[in-house]
Amino acid sequence: MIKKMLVILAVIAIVSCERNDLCIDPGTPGVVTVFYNGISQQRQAVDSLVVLSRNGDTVIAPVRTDSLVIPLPVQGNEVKMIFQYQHGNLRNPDTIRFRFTPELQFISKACGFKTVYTDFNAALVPDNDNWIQSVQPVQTRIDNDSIKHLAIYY
Amino acid sequence: MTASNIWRYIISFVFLLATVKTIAQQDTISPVKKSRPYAIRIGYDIGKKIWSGINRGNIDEIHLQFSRRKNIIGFYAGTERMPYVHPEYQFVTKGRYIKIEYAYNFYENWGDMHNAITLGFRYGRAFFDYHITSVSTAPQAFWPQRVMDTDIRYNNLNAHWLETTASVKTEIFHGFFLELYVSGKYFLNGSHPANFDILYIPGFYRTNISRFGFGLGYGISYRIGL
Repeated sequence: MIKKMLVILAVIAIVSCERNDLCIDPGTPGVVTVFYNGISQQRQAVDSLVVLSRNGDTVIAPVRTDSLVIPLPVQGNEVKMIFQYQHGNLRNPDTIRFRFTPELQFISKACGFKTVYTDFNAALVPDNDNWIQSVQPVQTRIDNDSIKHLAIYY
Repeated sequence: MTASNIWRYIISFVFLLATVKTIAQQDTISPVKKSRPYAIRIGYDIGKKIWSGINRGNIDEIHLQFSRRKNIIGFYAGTERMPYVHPEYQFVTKGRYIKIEYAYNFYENWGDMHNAITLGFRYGRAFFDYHITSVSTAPQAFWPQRVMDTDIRYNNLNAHWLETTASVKTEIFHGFFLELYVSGKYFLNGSHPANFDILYIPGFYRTNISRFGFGLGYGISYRIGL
């Protein structure tokens, strides 16, 4: 009786060992950015755009697109990124300064925490040859990737 | 619980069983005495003590059972301090719990023996605090992941659940019994901490989406016939 019981217990203990939960929920969001023609106010793709960090590392490789998701760091309150318009040999880097307050938000047992951003703001750093006309934050809170946070007119 | 910890737990349990077997075999048929109908049993959960120690925590659980012939009413009380380690976060649970039980002994004893094979139902309630000590959070591509020490506390949490428990009690020497048990648990409800969740409950172990839990263990008890 006890032997049987022991075998059953051992089997149950091993089988019931916690399965590895898979994290399938979305993690930390980025800044959903949409590009508009400054005159027509219509969505318009940028021919070739590359996003670089201040150190010149590529954040987003050259792409032709009218929308981007820009990753923000999960610490600090401010970051500057270079949005470089490329056309042939022409390179026109414009700097956008992002300000934000990162906050931890619990997702689930399997995923743990993600970062969401409050007090989000973005501004164009003027130089003597901006290809971007204006930068308009649409949201002050960034907690998912499914709505527009930032509009860039050029 | 990692696989190696499960094995350590089972091995310590097997050693305990080995002692039971040798001692139990020394039983001889003594003159049949008339059993007294009432009994009090006081016990301590050794399995939880060992398991919690292996997992760098501590659990002490005592119980008190009152029985009249085959009907048993039990009260369980425990204190816990258990770390919870996940790749993305770590926290410590500290708390207390109580369980109230009704059980029935299905075992037919000879004479004055008091072994038991019981099936019981328990209601459990726990009061506890969480202290989140470490969180890792990853940005979208490019930026580095961040692992930070945190000091996030959720106090005065509570939860309750149901259990059904099958146990075997064998007398190992006069008045002392070794108990082995398995229990199935069902999480009923608990606090809803803002920006966290009930992931561990003292007396219940980890929660999961299915609401079901499982426990096994062993303890020792002393019985006084009245």
